[in-house]
Amino acid sequence: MKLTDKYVGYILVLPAIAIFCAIILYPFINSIFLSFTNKSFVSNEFSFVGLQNYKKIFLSPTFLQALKNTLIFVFFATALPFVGGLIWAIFLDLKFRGAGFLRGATLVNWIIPGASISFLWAFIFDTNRGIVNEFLKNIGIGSGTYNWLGSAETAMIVVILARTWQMLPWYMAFLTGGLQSISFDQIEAARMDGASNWTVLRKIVIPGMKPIMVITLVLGIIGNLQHFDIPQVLTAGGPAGATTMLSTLVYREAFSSYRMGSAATIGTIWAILLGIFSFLYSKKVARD
Amino acid sequence: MKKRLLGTMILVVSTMLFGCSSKSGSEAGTSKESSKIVWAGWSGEEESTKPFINDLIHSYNSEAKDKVKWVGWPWKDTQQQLIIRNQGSEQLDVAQVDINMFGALAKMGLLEDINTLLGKKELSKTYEGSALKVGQVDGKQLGVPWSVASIGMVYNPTILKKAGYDNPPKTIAEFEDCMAKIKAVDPDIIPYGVATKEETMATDFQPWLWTFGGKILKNGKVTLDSSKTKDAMNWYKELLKNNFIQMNMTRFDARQLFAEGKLAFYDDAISAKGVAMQNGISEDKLAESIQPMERPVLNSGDDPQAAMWGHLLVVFKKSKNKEEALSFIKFVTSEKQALKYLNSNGMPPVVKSALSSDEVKADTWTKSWLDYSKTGQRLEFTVEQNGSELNNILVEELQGILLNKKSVDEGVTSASKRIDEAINQ
Repeated sequence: MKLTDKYVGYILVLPAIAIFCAIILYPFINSIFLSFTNKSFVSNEFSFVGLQNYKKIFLSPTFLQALKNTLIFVFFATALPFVGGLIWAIFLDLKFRGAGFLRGATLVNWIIPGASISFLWAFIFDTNRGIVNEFLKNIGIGSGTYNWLGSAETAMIVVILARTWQMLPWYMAFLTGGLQSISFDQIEAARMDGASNWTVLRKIVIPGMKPIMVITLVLGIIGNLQHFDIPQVLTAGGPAGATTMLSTLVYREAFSSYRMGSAATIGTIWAILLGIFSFLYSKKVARD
Repeated sequence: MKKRLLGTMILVVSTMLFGCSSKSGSEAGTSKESSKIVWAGWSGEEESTKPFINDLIHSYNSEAKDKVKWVGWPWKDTQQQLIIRNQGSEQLDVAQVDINMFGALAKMGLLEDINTLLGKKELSKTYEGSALKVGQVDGKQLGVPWSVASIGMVYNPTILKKAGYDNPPKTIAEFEDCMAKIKAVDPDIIPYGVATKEETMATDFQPWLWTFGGKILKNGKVTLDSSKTKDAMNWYKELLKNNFIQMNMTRFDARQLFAEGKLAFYDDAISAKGVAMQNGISEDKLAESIQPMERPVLNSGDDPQAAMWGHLLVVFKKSKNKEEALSFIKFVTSEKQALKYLNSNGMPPVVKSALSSDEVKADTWTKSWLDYSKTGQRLEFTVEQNGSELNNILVEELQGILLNKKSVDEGVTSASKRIDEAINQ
């Protein structure tokens, strides 16, 4: 048989397809299948239970709270670093001396592993030795013993802040790319016409950055929907489930309750949520 | 050109496939080729016990024909990792398990009956009877005790003296009074570092529940929804309201704060003394910094409560080296190694010859601890396969009550219902 370009192409793409099927497609389909079974982590025997897992999950207050927590986390942990990253990107784009160094230094947060960031923020907000309590006490606010991570009201705030600190450089890097694509001449022309900084930002910078902003936001939402390590290490989903998210709940169902069927059900619902944003992202990329 | 491209691709794919190998946990000991027995656990990963475990493996490997290799994880991941390793094709012969993990692994049918390997007579001749019982399930000896004591309470005598207490409180009323006086003397001191986070919260709560006369399970039925449970939970709420305890407290935090002199009481295993030294308390200051005590009782004359605690060594049914694994277990629990472990980490021995040795008799810390915790009972979820899930439910509901997200009545009813569902599904 003659080895035409077409066949070479097929052969070359074959390993990638095989790897995709083995490590993504098969586990994904298997996970959907498991969500209709009562499979346990500790036994190989299982039976088909239809939609029972889904019914149970949607009636479970733990799942509903985890879903609510996930949505709150995703919203704030995307919006805060996005706005912060944009401000920081614009500031560093002023091209003053040391801007390059600052940009590099900012990226350090993003390199640090999530578990280490969790320990860092647990120390910052520690009840007895934390610098936040010490600072508040020194400026006369509170007694210096507020239990940030032990309170249902504030634990989520700390988790969001830790994630914001981690991800701000990532947003900054993306948005800097967007900023640098805006024509400087256009800004100069607007300024000559008397446009203020605010007008330049509103009428030129933001519209010019819109495509990159949308992609950054969608990718940020996907990343936060998947996020696991900070809530798991910092609060273990507590107190009283206040920071339990879909990611930590799946882990708990699978490896603490050993219910693979139930974990797969939550995973499938979670994947659908992710799928919506992945679809939006793909559509945007294709359109651009 | 095309053929060369294809050839290159095949080479790259083959290299990738050969290069792929799976390893989990940290491994120590001898090289894979020369080691025959795989021993898993967590003590080889913890700073306080790592030197002893390394020395133990080194001693065994320098004498024995069948070498041992250590595979370790953090304590809280060990049960899950043992199950994963057991389900896969990775070798696993012996494991260190604690009482909680032991119950779950035994229920899953993963463990070998040691009676069939060593014989009942030999076991009872060598090991202390009550310790052996800890490793028994349905008449089978599924675990060999390594070190067995209880989770008890420790106190800081210097802090108590400042609060006017020469001896630790004996009753709950005295305990509350003592904590109030400590807080009055120094508001920065946290009187009691009971765990209020993670699964340890469930471990620390149960002896208090028993102190108030409550039980989670009786004859396989959930009996948590009782006035006695509500009394225990109301008492916990009062402790928090008075700032005698603190939310977000783990065992790790309590140990650190205790070593810094910022905590008056907390619950720990017998190894608390070794941990305190590890955390900076010098040997000459030990007596005035840490002492074991009986858990205060509700009424004078009640039995002080303690949760049974211990480490066992188990052999897996899947192991192809059961005899060799047993030889290693005998070495680990031998008098010589047991006394070494006692001296290095304060872990009490279980073999009769070591228990009757002068070294153990002269160790006042171990003697007091064993005396104070002789009424220790198994934590209630230890025999449940999904013990970890049940602990999580208890912790979540307790936290909900303490943080006023639920009333005591609502929390107790909800915990009872959820535990019942989780056990019976």
